[in-house]
Amino acid sequence: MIVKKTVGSNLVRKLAILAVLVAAILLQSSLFPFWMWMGVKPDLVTVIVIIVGLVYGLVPGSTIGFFGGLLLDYSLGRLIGAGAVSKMLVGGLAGWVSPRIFGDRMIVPPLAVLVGSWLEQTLYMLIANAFGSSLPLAKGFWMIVLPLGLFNVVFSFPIYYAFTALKKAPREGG
Amino acid sequence: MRWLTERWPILVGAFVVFILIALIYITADGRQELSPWEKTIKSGVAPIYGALSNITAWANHWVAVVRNYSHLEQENTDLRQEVEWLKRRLEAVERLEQENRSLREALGFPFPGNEQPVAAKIIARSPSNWFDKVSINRGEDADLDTGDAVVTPAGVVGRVYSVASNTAEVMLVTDDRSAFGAVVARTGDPVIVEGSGRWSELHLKPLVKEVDLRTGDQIITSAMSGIFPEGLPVGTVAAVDTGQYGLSLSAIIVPHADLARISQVFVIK
Repeated sequence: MIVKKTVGSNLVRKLAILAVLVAAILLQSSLFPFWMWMGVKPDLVTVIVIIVGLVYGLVPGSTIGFFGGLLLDYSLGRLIGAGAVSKMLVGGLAGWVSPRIFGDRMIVPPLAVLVGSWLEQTLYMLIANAFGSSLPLAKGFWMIVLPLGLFNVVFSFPIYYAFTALKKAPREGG
Repeated sequence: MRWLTERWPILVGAFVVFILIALIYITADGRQELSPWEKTIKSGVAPIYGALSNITAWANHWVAVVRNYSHLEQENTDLRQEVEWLKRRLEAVERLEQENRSLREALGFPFPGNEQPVAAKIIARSPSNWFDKVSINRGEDADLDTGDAVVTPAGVVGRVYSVASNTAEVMLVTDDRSAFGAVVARTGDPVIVEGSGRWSELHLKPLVKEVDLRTGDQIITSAMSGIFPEGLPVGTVAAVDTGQYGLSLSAIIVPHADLARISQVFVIK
């Protein structure tokens, strides 16, 4: 009975994370282009991937990074897989680092999102250029990567608390 | 066997990365032809984007109303004056258009753009900060095809890149893969206008050796653009660069159409 409930809870949790990813991509394509800061829109998918890595660990972090990145790449229509690789690596890294640095310190989620976003965007830029794009590295770093990391931090707290609540919910119910 | 069971995560990871690298390579320049199931997915998602676009437009409208309340009265007066002025300009343009049509017919030239442009609404934009694109709410249902020109009254926007049944994706003129022929309106010198990526600016390169180019020059599409009808506004030259020794010439153009804000476009077939 308990096993059945756990399996059901896990499935609901996975579906909830997938729904959040899809909702994030829809928001990034519709609402956020009008709510830009310093010329960039937030990358909610990266925030979710890093937070999932922090909360759930290496394998869920990299798995969500893979699927989130792939969905985002498909939505963009070019360089399909570049975002999947960069987000998978950053999600995995967040999950790997998490048990080593994590505690009840408030600073960890925003700091992880800040550094993780910078790393993910830099990786994406390098992969895109390796496959023939001509993204300007220095200009891209100053005008997109840096402000995007700072913008993403704004979303780190609500998403972190939403995912920690999602993680605790089935246990408390059971 | 034991070696395999111990290392399966690494093997699976390596296989996934290999597949992804192949996928990135194949799709590096984007894909114009969509498979039937992709068209179905895009057509299914289009109404969701349409609904979100309406909500966004509604929210933006009310945010703007609240922000600009104190200026509304003055703006209203200004707009009324502008409408009057535009009406007079429109009458003049209609007269010129009629005269132009008569002259073309007299000369035996076919009139360009006999077909009515298709009005479309932008329902989604690029989810990425690196590459720009927009999706519109018309597709095969309005007989749109890849390569069709997308414009606004302010200027050129881009061209249709891929089409599904009720939606199409538009490659913007600022896209790093975009390039088309244009002319300097003041001199008629032919130039190439290239996209610069996401930077809300275009790059200009001359097509002939001697080009007289100045800051503030207007750039319009040429008959040889291959994508856009002749004479559409492209943008204004914001900066001219003659290189370190004054031997090379390039310029930065600011597009007339506000590509980050437009919500309505016209597709010219």
